[in-house]
Amino acid sequence: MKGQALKGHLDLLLLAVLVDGARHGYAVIDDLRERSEDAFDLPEGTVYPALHRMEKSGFLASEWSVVRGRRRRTYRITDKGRGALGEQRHAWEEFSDAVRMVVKGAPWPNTP
Amino acid sequence: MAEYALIDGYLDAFRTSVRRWRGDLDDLVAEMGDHLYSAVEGFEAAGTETELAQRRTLERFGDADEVAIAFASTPQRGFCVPTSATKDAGTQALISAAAWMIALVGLWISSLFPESTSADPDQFVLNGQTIFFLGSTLALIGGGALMLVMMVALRQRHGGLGVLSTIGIGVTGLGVASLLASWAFGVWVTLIGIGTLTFAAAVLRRDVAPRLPTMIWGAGMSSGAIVWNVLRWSEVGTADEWGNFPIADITGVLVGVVIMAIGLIGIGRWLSSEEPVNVEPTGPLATA
Repeated sequence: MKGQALKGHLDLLLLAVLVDGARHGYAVIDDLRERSEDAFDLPEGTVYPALHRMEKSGFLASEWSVVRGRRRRTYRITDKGRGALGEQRHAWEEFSDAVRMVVKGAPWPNTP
Repeated sequence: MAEYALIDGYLDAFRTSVRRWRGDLDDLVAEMGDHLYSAVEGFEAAGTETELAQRRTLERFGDADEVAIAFASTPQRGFCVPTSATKDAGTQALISAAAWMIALVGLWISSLFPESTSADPDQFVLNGQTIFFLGSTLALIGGGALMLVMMVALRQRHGGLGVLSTIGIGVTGLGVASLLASWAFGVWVTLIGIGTLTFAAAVLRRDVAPRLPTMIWGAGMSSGAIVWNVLRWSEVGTADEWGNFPIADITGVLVGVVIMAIGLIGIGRWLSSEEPVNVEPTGPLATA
């Protein structure tokens, strides 16, 4: 699934990954790819602005450590983030149910 | 890491694509570097040769410009990329410098004409003196307005530069508005001096522009204001019929405009020399 299709849902996906435990950016993206079975095709670097934005909004918190001589930033979800995840999950389920009801049973267009 | 030259080169390219408050940029590059090196090590552990591992990692990570665009398009303070708008702001700064200098020349030329010999001293007479004075006033207003646009663009470029920058823009705006009464040299020289100095301080604090041109620009009109105030309140020279001291007016404006214009040229050349990265607000993934 290309980047444009994920627009608007990235926060939900990242929060859903982080609710299972603190991770650094690479691990978050790896987890996202694994759980979606490679369905989400996005430039990995473009996830970092979303992570930083959510940290500024209070949904995530981060801390620095040193791993193998490199500085590593690890993110964890906050209580506010858990609340946001619940809301976004609910909104997504309502949306996907509505889409399913509209699309299900609609005839396929005739193709020449 | 010399063995990961492709990754190192990518991080260097990213540093030049993204402008940020200095300390935060180091953190960002460290975070991205950790991601990239971890990914390469993952490929190598699976048996991939080092150079190929780096290429695959960078393909997955995204082009440096693309990632920079994602940062610039995400509503958060402190990030920017050079865009066509900031390049235009550079051009506007250069035109502003030219307008200020043209105004200075126009004011000088207007002073060469003899005073009006009209029986009513308050009657407006269109002669060489007034024509050049009016033209200079227009050039001053144009130069001031373009300089304000540049200041706003510089602030927007970084998603904000703090309260100081807002105060600087506000006071400079008042100064530009007072140019409508361009004969009140002391007023606009002082307001623009305070405004540009305040804004320059905000820019220098964040270290987001070349230091020397910014310092010269900030010091320009404020130096002129100091000179004007010292000469005026010391009553240097002979007062005219309106109680003004021409020596204070001339010296203050000359010092202020020339130094400020030199600074504007430096800032304008820097902004207009950057290669813009196209920013498409509808494109980046990271905009939620």
